[in-house]
Amino acid sequence: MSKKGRIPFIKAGAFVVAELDPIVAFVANKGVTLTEGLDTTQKADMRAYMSLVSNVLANAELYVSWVDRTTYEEVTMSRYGSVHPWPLNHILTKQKRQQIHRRLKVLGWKQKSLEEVYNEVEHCCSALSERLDKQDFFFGKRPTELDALVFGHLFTLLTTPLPDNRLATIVRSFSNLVKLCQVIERDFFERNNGGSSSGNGEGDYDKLEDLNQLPM
Amino acid sequence: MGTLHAKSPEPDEAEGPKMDLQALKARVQRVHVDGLARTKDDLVINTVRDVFTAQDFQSVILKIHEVRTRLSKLGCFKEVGVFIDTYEGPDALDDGIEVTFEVRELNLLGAKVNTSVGNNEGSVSTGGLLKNVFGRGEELSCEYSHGTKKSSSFFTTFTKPFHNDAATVLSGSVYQQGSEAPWSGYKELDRGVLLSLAFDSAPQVQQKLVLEGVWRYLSCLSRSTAFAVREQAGHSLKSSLRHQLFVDKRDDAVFPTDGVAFTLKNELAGLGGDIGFLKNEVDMQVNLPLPADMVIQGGVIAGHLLPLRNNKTHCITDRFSLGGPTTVRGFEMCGIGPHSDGCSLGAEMYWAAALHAYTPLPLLHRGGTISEKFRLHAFVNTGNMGDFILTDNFKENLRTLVRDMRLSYGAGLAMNLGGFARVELNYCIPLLVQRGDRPSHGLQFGVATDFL
Repeated sequence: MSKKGRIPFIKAGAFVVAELDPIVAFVANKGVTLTEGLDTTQKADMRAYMSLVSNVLANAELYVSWVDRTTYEEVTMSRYGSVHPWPLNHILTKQKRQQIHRRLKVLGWKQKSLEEVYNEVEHCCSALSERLDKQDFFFGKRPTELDALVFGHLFTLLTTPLPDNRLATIVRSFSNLVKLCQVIERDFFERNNGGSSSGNGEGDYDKLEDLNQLPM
Repeated sequence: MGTLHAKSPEPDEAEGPKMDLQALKARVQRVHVDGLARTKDDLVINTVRDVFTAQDFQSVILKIHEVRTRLSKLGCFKEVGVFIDTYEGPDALDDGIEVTFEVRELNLLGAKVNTSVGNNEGSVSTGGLLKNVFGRGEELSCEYSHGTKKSSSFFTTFTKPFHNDAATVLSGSVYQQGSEAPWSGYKELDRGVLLSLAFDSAPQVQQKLVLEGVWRYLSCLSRSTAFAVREQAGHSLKSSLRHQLFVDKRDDAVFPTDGVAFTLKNELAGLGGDIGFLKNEVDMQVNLPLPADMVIQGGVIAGHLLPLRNNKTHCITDRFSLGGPTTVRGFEMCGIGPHSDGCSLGAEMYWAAALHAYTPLPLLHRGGTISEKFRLHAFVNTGNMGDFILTDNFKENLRTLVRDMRLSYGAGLAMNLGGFARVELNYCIPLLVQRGDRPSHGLQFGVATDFL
């Protein structure tokens, strides 16, 4: 869809804008921004946390999906390949796997063990949890890009059934993060889910099949 | 041309200035073929066998000429020379003749480098070929080309001719080819295998059966590519069986003055992979000579794509496109039919017709190279395309096909390029245009081998 095949993307008239940062910049160009109320320090803070999320959570998702053998064979292979006819499903999945492996190798993630990856995720979540504390959103009463990014990753981790559910378990152990996900889902995505999930307990998160943001 | 050395056979009969060669008895008793190395004997023997049937000197000469032509067409030799001598063996007859074919075989290895410009891209291609690999005219060629837009493509083809009456040729290729369709805003990378069998079923009637499997990757070409095109981007796998029939009874391929040409193409896709359709296309051209070297030419092309009713799909690259200097003049390339944000989306059905009047350049004497190479022409082009829904009612169908049709007319200069392609420079006036079309009023330039 987007020129380089990146997600997420938005379509605004004739424009197709892909990935979070260009989308935020594009929307800001039109005079809509979520960070008006923040001072410079807070903005820098937000950027730091965003890069933490992109570095840790995104790579951990890639690691679990493509490097961890069980998950790769049981989930990723069919999830990535099933839309293509034989033999393309195998070829393309292998290609993608190589590409991800190369990337993780450069970033120093491929050498890690699964346990180390889980630890990284836990550290990242606890940092986020500390920052969030008891507020509604990361920076007070109004959501920012950071909330969107965190929601995107955590919601996916919570709702995607995997052979090893450690990631979901780790996230669930931080109750304020789970609450953030619930609030965002209720306030911004209620219409899509027909309102059925609002106000339900966190146990429902296991059953939700809303995979609108797959970890790629 | 080879050299022909013939000794005057009998001194008493060679006296007069006019010699009746048919009355001169001659028999070929022995044939030598000199210079064979890789080429297999059975192929050569089968080819030269014909000369033994000749009974008189004239037919000997004719048969030898025929055999010489066939030898040079085998794809094994670069030169064929002929020597004719009287046979002087122990069992020699009075009119015995000995024929020697001196052949020089093609080098096993060949190489080529060429550059080409087309489709807004220049490219350099290099290739190597192995000729006459197994001694029966087989050829293995590899070609790699690199374009200025970073598209790289290669072809590896093995060709095996069978040297029978139907001129059967079997060939197989493995290829990768990149192409761009700026009028639709996508680029395509094809990787595939081809198996094709070509044969003549009658003089000037060629048929071709092709089995193809191709992995296609469509991607978005620019930022302005329409969303309707982006939706179709991605990988797809097509396997298809194609049948092509070519009948060409014209007297010239570029500027014919008389004769009919007809092409029929059928393609059934969906033997494997996710693409499935049945596609039929016809192309017909009729030429009528008029006085004063004028020629009237009528042409019709039409195509129909039928999606298969199963879980197979088809995408933009399978659909037809119409318009441009080689089809309906007066429109931009693929400028007819459904568009979205300036990108042509193609359609499942089209037809187009053209009427041309050709005349040589005035004020030049006939037969000169310039007047041979150039023609003036005036034309009327018309056509229509869309996803028409046809019923059983013939009149209704006709109305559907003619509704909203496009029409353009104009005149221009056409040039013969190397005897196989044509260059046209025309002034075009589009007359009937529909919403969404991209007409092109004014001068239009086109180069192609096939024109409507």
